[in-house]
Parts: sequence; C-alpha cells; structure tokens
Amino acid sequence: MTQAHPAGQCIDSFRRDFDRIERALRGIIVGQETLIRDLLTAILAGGHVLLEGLPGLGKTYLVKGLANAVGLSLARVQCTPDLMPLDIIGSELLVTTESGEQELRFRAGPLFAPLVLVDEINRATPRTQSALLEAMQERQVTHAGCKRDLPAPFWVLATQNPIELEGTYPLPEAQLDRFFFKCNVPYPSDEALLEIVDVSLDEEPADRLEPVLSVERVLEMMRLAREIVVADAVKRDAVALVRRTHPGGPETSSLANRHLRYGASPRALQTLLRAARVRSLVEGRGHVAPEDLSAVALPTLRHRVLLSLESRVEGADVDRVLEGIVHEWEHAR
Amino acid sequence: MDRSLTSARGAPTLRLLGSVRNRLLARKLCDSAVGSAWAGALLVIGGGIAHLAILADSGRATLWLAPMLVAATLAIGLARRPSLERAAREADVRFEGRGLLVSALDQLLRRPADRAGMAEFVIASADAAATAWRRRPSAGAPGLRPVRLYAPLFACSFGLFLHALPGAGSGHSAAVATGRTSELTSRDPAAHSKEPSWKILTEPDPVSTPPSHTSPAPSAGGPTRAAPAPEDEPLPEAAAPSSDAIVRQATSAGGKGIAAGDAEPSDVSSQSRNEHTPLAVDYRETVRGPGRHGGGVGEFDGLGPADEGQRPQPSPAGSVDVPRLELGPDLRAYIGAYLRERRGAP
Repeated sequence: MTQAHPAGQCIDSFRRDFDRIERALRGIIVGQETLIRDLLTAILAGGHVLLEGLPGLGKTYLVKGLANAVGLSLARVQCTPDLMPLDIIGSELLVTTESGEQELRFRAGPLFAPLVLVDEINRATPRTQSALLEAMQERQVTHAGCKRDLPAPFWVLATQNPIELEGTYPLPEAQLDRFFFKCNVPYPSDEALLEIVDVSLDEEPADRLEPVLSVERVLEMMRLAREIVVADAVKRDAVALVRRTHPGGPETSSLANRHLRYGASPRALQTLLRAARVRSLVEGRGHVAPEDLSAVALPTLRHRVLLSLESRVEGADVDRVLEGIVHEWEHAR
Repeated sequence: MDRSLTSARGAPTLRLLGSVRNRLLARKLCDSAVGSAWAGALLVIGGGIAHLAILADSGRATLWLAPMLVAATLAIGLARRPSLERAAREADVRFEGRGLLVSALDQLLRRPADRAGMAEFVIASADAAATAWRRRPSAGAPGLRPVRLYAPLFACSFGLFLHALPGAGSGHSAAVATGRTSELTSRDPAAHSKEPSWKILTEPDPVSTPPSHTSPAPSAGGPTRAAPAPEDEPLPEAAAPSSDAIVRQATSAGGKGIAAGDAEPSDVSSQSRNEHTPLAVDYRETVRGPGRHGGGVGEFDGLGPADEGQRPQPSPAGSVDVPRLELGPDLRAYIGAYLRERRGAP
C-alpha cells in the first residue's frame, strides 16, 4: 500500500538517485563511505561542509568528483594569507562598451558559482574569511553597497588541514557555526589503500566522472526533504540532545560539564533536524526517527561545541565526548 | 480529541495505540501491586520481628499494614491511562517502528492544513504497519509477569508465620525485653550461693517480699513474676519447716507460691538443679502469670479448655491467683527432701 502511495514512490526514487550518486563517488574515493554519505546528506539539506583532514586524503578530489557527478560548475578558491575579499566576491572593472563609452562593470568572483571549493580556508585572513560569512548564511554578497544574490543552489565546501597551523588563521566560532557539517577525513584502511592504487594510479577517475544527476533533480530531492514529517516528540528529542551539550544546564550531560566550555547553538538544532530529514529519506522513511538524529549528531555538533582548556590539555577528543553525550541521550529517551 | 481521529484514516493506528495504552496501564497496576506486595511483606516481617523481639503487639504490628494498603489502593485508584504519545513511543520500541507511530500520531493530532507534505504517506504507512502488528500474538506491550508477585507473597507468608510464633510477652523473651538480660547471664557465684534460684514466698507477708526488693516493675505487657528475695538476707533457720509444711505452704500459697526467682536455663547452677528437679521448672511454669499472650504455645498453665473459669487471672497489682495444686505424696516427699538438702538441714 505504501509503495503505491505517490509519496512512497517519491521516496523510492530519492533512494535510487541517492544510491546512484553515492556509488559514483565511492568509485573515485575509496574507503570513505561515511564521509561520502555525510557530504551528500549536507548537500541535499542545502548546507555547507567543512572537510578536515591531513593532506593527500582526497578532500579536494572528492569535491571535484561531486561537482562532476551532479553536473555543477565548480569554482575553486585557494586560500592564502594575501587573498583579498574582492578576489572571491568579484570586483568592478572599467570596460569599454561597443559604443566606445567606458563604464564600470561588475565581474563576479568565484563565489557566484553554485559549488565553491575553498581550499585550506584557515590560511585565508580573517577579513577574507568573514567575506564568506554573508555568502554562506545569506546567500548574497555586498559589493560597493550593492547586494548581489548568489545563484541557487549554492554550496561552499571548504577544506582545512589540522596540522601545519603556523601562519594560519583558525576559523572563529561564528564562522564555524555557518558550516552545516564538519566532516573528518580519516586514513583509509589497508584494503582501501590497495584499492586506491588500483583505481587511481595512473589517472584521476574524478575527471572522467559523468554526471549521474542533474541540478534540477538535486533541487527536487532537496524539496522532497523539506516535506518529511518531524513529530513534536522528535523535535523535543533534538532539543534535549542539544541541551545536553550546554555545560551548567539542568539537563546537561556530565560529560559536557566536565569537558565542554560552550555547547551547541540553536543553529545546531536546525541543522540536526534538516540533516535527519535527509537521512530518513535515505532510509526510505517519510518521517524522522530519533535514530536519524543520532546518525547525524557527530558531524553536526563536533564543530559547534568547544572543549574546555583543561580537557584540551588532557588531550580529550571532541568526538569521544560527543559520542558519550549521544549515548547518554539515547538511553535517557 | 481532534475530529480527524474519528475518521477511517488512522483508525488502525489508533486502535493499536489504544490496546498498547491498556497494556501499559495494566503493567503499571501490576508494578504497583508488586511494589505494594513487597512493602506489605516487609511490614509484616517487621511486625513479626517486633512481635517476637521487642514486646510489640502482634495485632498492632499488623495494623502497620493499614497505611500501606491505603496507599496501594490510592495508587491503583488514581492510576491513569498513559498518554497516546507514550503508547506510541512504547509501540515503536516494541515493534521497531523507528518513530513511525509517533510521527503518525503527531500528524493525526494536527489539522489537515497543518500537516507536513508526507503526512498522508506516514499515516498510511502507520495504518498498514499497525494492521500487521496487531496480528502478532503478543501485540501490545511486554508481558505483565505476575510471577513477580510470588516472592513478596512468600515473604508475606513468612511474616505471618512470625506473627503466629509466641510473642515476647513471656519467659525468657520477657526478660530480654525488659532489659534484665544481665540477670539471665549472670555468673556471679556469690549471688547464686546466697540464695536459691527459687524460694518459698509466703503469700501475704510483706516482710519477706518488701517492695524495695521486688524486681523492677514489670512493663505494661510484661509477665507477672514473683519478686525475688533480697540477696543479702539469709533465710531464718526458724523458718525451715518440715517438708510437708513446705509443700503445704507452697501449694496453698495462692498467688505467690514458689517463685522461680532468677533461675533461667542460662544459669548453670539452676540448670543443674533443674536437671534433678524438673518439678521446679514445671511448677514455675505453673505459677507464671499469663503474659501478654498468656496461653500461647509453650505456656502450659496446667489447665485445659474445660478449666477456663479456673484459669489464673492477673490481679490489679500484677500478681496472679494460682489455683491450688494437688501433689502426690511421693512428690511432696521428694520436694521436701530436696529443700532440706538445699538448706543443709539434716
């Protein structure tokens, strides 16, 4: 009965397309299944993603593959300390028209591409980083007092390197909060490394990846995700999870009290539910379950909580702390 | 309840949730019953222990059950059916619905205009799932497990058994209860050499039983015991009568007679005496007043049911009117000889 339901058919179609693009990306990025699923979840929820990992793990490669898979034009910004905001927003150039007159004309920067790869974002100066704030949140830029809308869809995929921090500008909390997900890129396993050698020893398969989905289809999938049912009880569960990360609160987890300095923001709550909607579609459901919240909790929260100084000194890992908090939350439900 | 709840759409879901609610209520009541049974068992056992050890009244101890029964009755009476949302959560956990019933119920409780785009699909999915789940043999909620009642009921039975045992109102237990355990365990040879463990008390003679030498006033519910003679007061030689006189005096001493004094089984000297004179023990039992629970097990007073009218009744002063006992001549001679031997008489 549910299969014959129009919404059921839409969900099945969503799953098929998600599976297609996921398989396409797995073919070029080996051994990063969780990363690929999280990245696609964020993309279909309309969020920006911060990829953090050591050099050579395929972060940039993955973004290029994603752009090819969905047929989007990719603009790449390689951040350096001398990168200026106008370099990414665009600038006005004095051009001569056909009639011979000269006028100032806006030349759009890389931010006006639907998919922007901001490579090594922590090497850009705070001034340039802050130029991204408006673009990421408002999906518009302001140049010379004039607001210009960015194209839709618009995604920013940024990468950063957790080592070689000298000469870098760590992202402020306000900017980190703008990222929908922060995905860690781990080392692949031995089997995955062998497969990487087989797949990409002499060529880069991402370059020859054919689009598997159109941009329109991606937008349709994003619209479908917004129709997913989120029950009040599930919303309360999400609120409880976020509240557990707030140190000093009545519902706070003991782990948060011990290790965290700041908890997750209300934007984290929105992100949690938006990501859970996509995850529920991937699972073939028309409603969000608490399990979906658990599944997306780590990439949603890991960059929105701040470890206390003592915990940092002790070498506490934010992922371990969050896993403990989520575990407590699951048992308390 | 919203009108949409009465529509056919969502009806299987609501039926399933209704049955889950009922099962949850039943489980709640069963949990209350188990808790009450344990509390009652503890109270009954506590009352039984008090009854045995600290001179408590068995009936009064059992009365402690009353507040517990009232509380249990109130808890059961005030128990309400759990909410539909609670039932939906329970059903989701039980049937691994992954939030399907919670979401469907959430949408069913909304007006159609306020529902999400996928609401109809979710409700239809929930209906289909609920129809399938209701066919399961154990649909509803986890079992009530009434077997949990066995242990507290067994404990309660044990407590009632304690109540049925003889209470602390007599004999050894009374001494323990009134704080005279030192008397029971005293090994002072001087004390025992100076006076017999039991002696003859003349009934009305206030000199031989002066108030200052009487044992501590028995507690309200305590046993009635003859007061021991003063330890430093030797019995006068002239008072050594013949054996017949002694026995006559003893058997005619209505209310006082031969007192057991401080003799108790724990007393070695008296124990050895009692081995030779079981009559002393028997007689002590006879003159012992009916304790709080007079006539209980082990308190044979020499009277049968037919002699109910002759059963000794406690006097206002705490003494007991003991009926005259008829001893055979051999027994009299034995007692007389024994008493003379004790006093060193020829």
